[in-house]
Amino acid sequence: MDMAELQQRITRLEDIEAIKQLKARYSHICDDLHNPDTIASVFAEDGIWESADFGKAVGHQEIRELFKGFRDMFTFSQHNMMNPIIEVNGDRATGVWYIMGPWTLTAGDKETWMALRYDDDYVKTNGEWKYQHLRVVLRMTADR
Amino acid sequence: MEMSELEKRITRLEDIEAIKQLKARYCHICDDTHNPATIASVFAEDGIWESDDFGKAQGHKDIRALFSSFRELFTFSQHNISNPVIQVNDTRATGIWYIMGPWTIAENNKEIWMAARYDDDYVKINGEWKYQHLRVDLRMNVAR
Repeated sequence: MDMAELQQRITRLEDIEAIKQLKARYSHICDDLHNPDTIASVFAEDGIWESADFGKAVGHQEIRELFKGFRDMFTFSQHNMMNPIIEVNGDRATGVWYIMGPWTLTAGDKETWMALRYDDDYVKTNGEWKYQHLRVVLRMTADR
Repeated sequence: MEMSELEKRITRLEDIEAIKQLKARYCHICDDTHNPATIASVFAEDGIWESDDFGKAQGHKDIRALFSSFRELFTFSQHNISNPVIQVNDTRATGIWYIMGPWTIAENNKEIWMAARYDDDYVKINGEWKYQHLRVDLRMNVAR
C-alpha cells in the first residue's frame, strides 16, 4: 500500500466525521430557536432546505426567511440525531439520518414528540462541508 | 511508524464506521415495515436473529419468515439507535447498542414506545460486514 492510498482512506474518515459534525452544528442552530442569523453558515450559497411537511427554501436569503417562520412556529426543540449512513464521493456526499425529539409549538403551547428522516446532499467547498440539499420527511408525531 | 501498522489502525476505524452503517441500514429495513425482501442482505448466510421477547431465526430463509411476521405485527416503527460499543478483532466484531423509538402494533392500532439493548456479533465476508448474530433484549415498553 502506498502513502497516497492511505491518505485517501484517512481523508474519507475525516470527511465522514466532518459531515457528522456539520449535522450536529445544524441541530444546535435549530435548537437555538431556529436562529435565522446563523443558519445560512451551514448551507452552500445555492443550498436547498426542503420538506413536503414544512416548506422549501433555495439560497441563503430564503433559508433565513424560512427559519424566521420556524422561530415564530416553535418555542422549543431538541434535534437528537441518529443512524447516519454517509457516503463520500470526492467533494460530494450523501447522508441519511434519523431524528427524534421534543418540540413545543407556539400555537396553543402544544408539546409534541416528532420522529423524522433526513436525506441530505453535501458539498465540500474550500475544504469545508456544507449542505447542498437538505430533505426532511416527518414520520411520526405524538403528544407529550 | 511503519506503514503496515498505520494501515491496520486505519482499517480498524474503517471497520467501526462500516459496522455503524450496517446497523443503520438494518434499522432502515426494519422501518420499511420490516421488509422481508431486503432483510437477508445484512445477515451472513447462517446469521441468527434472536430475542427472548420476539423469537429466534437462523439463516436467510428463517429470518425472512420472521420479518414477514413482524410486518403483520407492526404497522410503524422508528429504530433510533445510539451508544455503540464496537470491538473489532480482524474479520470478527462485537457491538452493543441502545435503541429507543415509537412502534405501532397492528392489533388495536396500539401506539407504544420501546427501549431495548442489542448485543451483536458481526463477520467480515469478502470485505463486507454482515450480522452473524443479532440479540435484542427489550428493556422498556410504555404507551404513547
